[in-house]
This record gives sequence, structure tokens and C-alpha cells, in this order.
Amino acid sequence: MLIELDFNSQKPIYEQLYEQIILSIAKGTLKEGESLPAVRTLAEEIGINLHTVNKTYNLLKDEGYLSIDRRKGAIVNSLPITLKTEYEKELFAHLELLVAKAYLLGLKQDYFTNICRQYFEHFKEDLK
Amino acid sequence: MNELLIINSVLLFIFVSFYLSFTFSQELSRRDTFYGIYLEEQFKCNPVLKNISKRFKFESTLIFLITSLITIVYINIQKAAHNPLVIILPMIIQLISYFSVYIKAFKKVKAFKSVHQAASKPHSKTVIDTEFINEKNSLKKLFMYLYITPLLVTVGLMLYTFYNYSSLPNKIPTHWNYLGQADTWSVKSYGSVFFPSIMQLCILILLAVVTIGTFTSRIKLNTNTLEKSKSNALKYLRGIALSIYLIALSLVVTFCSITLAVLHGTNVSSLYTFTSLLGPIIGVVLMLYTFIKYGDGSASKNKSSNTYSPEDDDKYWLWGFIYKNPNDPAVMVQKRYGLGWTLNIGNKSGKVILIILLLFILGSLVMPLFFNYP
Repeated sequence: MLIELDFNSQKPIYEQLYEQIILSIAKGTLKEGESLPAVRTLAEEIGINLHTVNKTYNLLKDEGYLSIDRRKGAIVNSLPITLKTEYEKELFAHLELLVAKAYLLGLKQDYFTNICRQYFEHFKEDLK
Repeated sequence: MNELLIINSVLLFIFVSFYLSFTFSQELSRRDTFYGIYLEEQFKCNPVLKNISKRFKFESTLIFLITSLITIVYINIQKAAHNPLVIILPMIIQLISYFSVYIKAFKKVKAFKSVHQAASKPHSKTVIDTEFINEKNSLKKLFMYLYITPLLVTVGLMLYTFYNYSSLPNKIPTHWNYLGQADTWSVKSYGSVFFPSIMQLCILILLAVVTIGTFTSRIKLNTNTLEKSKSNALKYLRGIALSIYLIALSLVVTFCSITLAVLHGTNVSSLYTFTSLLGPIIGVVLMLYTFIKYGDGSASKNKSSNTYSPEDDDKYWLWGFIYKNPNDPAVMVQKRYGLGWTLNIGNKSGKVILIILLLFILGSLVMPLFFNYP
């Protein structure tokens, strides 16, 4: 798995890390059952506070992507992960915002849904 | 007369190695730094910077020539080979003068950068490869296991010494000539009997900690040539760790043979004398080879790293060689000026290691002033 972070970005590092890990799981570069680097190791490697990495891992754990094992550290849960209703709501709130932006930018509905479909297909392929 | 010759050559050796390591540190440093300041490589051809470098080399050569000449003349006229101050004082004077010359160059480069700031900003992106982290971690584990044996041998020897302590004669040898024959004796005490073993244990622990720190420290990869820079980095780390391990092993052999010679009242075998010289020499040669072949100054000959890490920021560096960043959990980071790594003194463990090292240095400087150690 390659993690790319931008220190000049407005987006906080923990959020960038969160997104990168989710994308890696979807793309299959981070497989189910695989363990992530230890919090300390990753923080040392990037040069950021341990709390930042901890925050990301906890966020991912709360949303069900990871589980924390005492021996193996953070492990990717089996896919698809069990969806919790509270996160389903959040997910659709994100989507609503995204569609609103697309709509205001004047994107065609077909075009938008087509791209969504393409992403789905891609991730399906990658996870095989 | 003979002693005077030895002291002269030892001093000359120390002075020359001081001079070389101070004057040519820039040539061995990371490619994106210049006298402790982060600077893009393209600037290094700038005539202003070239002049700063020339001036620096001229001044340090002057310091070397003047101080060495005065010291050697003084020693030979006064025949002052026995006074430890004569050795330590010029070393301290040299260190301070080299340091001030470096600071001068550092300040000039800093001023240069403040004028040309815009073009010398660090990259903002960083790329972490978890596979690389895993490979690094397994190498680290391997070397941790490799240190278990010498540590066990050391502790075992200490127990053996303790067991045999009461049966030792009252006078024990504490110094051997180059043929391995004892030529100095001391009165038996826990201090004199255990001194080599304690030294051995301290140095071994220090070397093990340094090795593990090396594997924990950040290595910046070049994303354009990812696979190549990954394999280079691993070879680099393996070479450094292996050379430190060789030095550690030969130290263990040397100190063990000394302790055994004390215990059995025998001569030190010349085989041990041989390994005690050969081991460190091979280790140092291997280390230099690794630094030159795979080090940051050269592995990136084609291109220096294109990713960001906090040590690229000037604001975390004091005088370009002291790193202080409390937000960075790394204990060791790559130096800006010269080969190797430096401590992060903004970090708790970094502070602890710094204090231990300072005590070590202070101890070894003060000891010969108080004790006439053979």
C-alpha cells in the first residue's frame, strides 16, 4: 500500500490518511485480514504525532473498516464490512452534498451516474 | 624518546581526522542541504555559494595548520608527552574554532536563502510505502536477534568473573603490550576486575540501540524510481547495521580476551589482538563503502528525494545540526551536515539518549585527568 499525504493541503493529515486507507482497501492494495503498520511505526515514518495516526485508526475502527487486535495491531475487516445505520445516514449525507455540487456545476445526471457506476465496477474488479 | 614519537603520531592522526571530517562534511551530506540549510540542488552552482564553501575550506585549513603546528612544536620542545592537558586542550580549541567557522558559513547560506527563498521550498507531499516499512521491520528484528548472542556471552562472562573473583590473586594485569604480554598490574578490586566487562556491556548496548535506531529512522524514497530507491535503501541499512555488528563482535572478542587474561593470569592471545584490530577496520571500510555507494549523498546521484518529511523544514533545526521537533516521534533523523543520523531532542527518548551520550563523553574526557589510567 502506498500512502500519499500533502502537508500543504487544507485537509488535516488524519483525514488524508483516513481517505488513503479506505481507497487502498477498495483498490485491493490493502487486503482483508492484512495488518496495518503499528501506530508508532507509521507516525515515525511520516513524522507526525502519534495521536494523529491513532485518531485515524480509531475512526476507521468505529466505522467498521478495521478491528484492533492486541497482538497483530490494526487489521482490515472482512469485506464487505457490516454497515451500521448511523454511518449509512452519514454516507448519504456526503452523497447528497456531492450530487448538489455536481448539479450546481451543471453536470448531466447520466454522466454523473455513469461515473459512479464505473467506480463501482473498478473496485469490484480490484477486489476479486 | 619513543613515547614522544607515539604521542606525536597519535596527535597528528587525531588532528588530521578532525580536519578531514570537518572540512569535507558538506561533500558527504544530503544533497538537498548546504551547510545545514535546506536548499535545492540547482543553487549549488551559484557563485555566491561556491565562494562560501571556498572560504570555509580555507579557514578550516588555516585552523588545522596553525593549531597542529603550535601543539607539536610545544610538545617536542617541552617534552610534555605525559601531560594529558596537552592532548585535550588543542582538541577543544580546534573543535571550537571549526564550529565557529561552520556557523559563519551556515549564517551566510541562511542569508542567501532569505533572498532566494521562493525557489527553495521543500516538497509538500510525502509517500509512505507499507511494504517497505514491513521489510525494514523484519530486518530490524533480525538484527535484534543477532545482538542476543553477544549480550548473553557478555552477561555470562560477568557471572563467570563473579564466580571466580575470590580465587583471583591480589595483583592482576590491567595492560598488555602489542604482543599480548602483561606489562602493568593493579591491585585486585571489583572495579579493576569488572572494568572491561562493564565497558563491553555498555558499548554493546549502545551499538544495539544505534542499530535499532537506524532501522527506525525515516528513509525518504524517490517516487519516480520507487523500486530502485527501495532496494537501495534496504542495502544501505543492511550494510550499516552489518558493519556496526562486525565492530560489536570484535569488541566482544577483545574485551572477553582481556577479562579471561585477568581471570587466568595469562597473556592475551595474539589472535585476539589481531581480531581486535581487523574487525573494526573491516567494519569501518564496509560502513564507508555503504555510505558512499548507497548513502543519501550518492544513492540519489540521479535525483534527490522528491518527498517531504518534517526534517526538511529549517524551523526545526538549530544551527543546521540540532534537530528539535516535539511533534515528530522519530528519535533519530538523517543529519543535515555530514554522514549519518542525529537525535531529535524535542523527543523524550531523544533527550534521554542525549544525556547518556553526554555523560559518556564527559566521563571519557575527565577520566584521564583524574586517573593516570595506563
